[in-house]
Amino acid sequence: MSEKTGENVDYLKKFTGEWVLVLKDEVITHGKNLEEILEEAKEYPDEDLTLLKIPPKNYFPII
Amino acid sequence: MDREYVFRYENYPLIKIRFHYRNKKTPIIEALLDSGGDFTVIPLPIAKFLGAKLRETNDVSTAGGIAPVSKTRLDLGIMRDGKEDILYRRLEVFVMDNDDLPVLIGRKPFFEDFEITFKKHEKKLVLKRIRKE
Repeated sequence: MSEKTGENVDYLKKFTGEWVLVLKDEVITHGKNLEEILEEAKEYPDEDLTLLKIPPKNYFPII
Repeated sequence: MDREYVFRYENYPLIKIRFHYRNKKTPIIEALLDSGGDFTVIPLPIAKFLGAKLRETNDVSTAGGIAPVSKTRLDLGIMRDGKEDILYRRLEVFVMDNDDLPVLIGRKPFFEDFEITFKKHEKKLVLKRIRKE
């Protein structure tokens, strides 16, 4: 089920540590398994589809 | 006027990009501009999604220690006013088998081709293309 997001990026805090797929202003799906998220992405038009990784708490880049 | 790419800068310096491989392309990806890293790095599922051909490479030194990686070559586009500019053709990209890793845009070649300004107080990240003589 998608969720309306709106302008405020605070809505993303609840997806900490997850990948989030957004179509226009709606979260289509989210989770830690990127392969599953990308599989679901195939069902949507790609022009407006955005993929984000919400950093986990105490995030430190790996490379 | 030199071309500028302006992104909203909240907690992390993120830029909107897209990868292409042959006739496939990813969704738009919010990638982390990582001044501490040398190269562009993607998690393995993105390479699989594109069907990109992988080449083995030597282990690399990372912030988390030595890690095995693969390499591939992808086209990379950057979003500007809702449209995409293809910036790089067959860019060398490192691939790590780690879903926890965001897409990382390292210094090569972005920091050589752009003047990058982190305007945290304005919540803006500005990439200005450097005109090379």
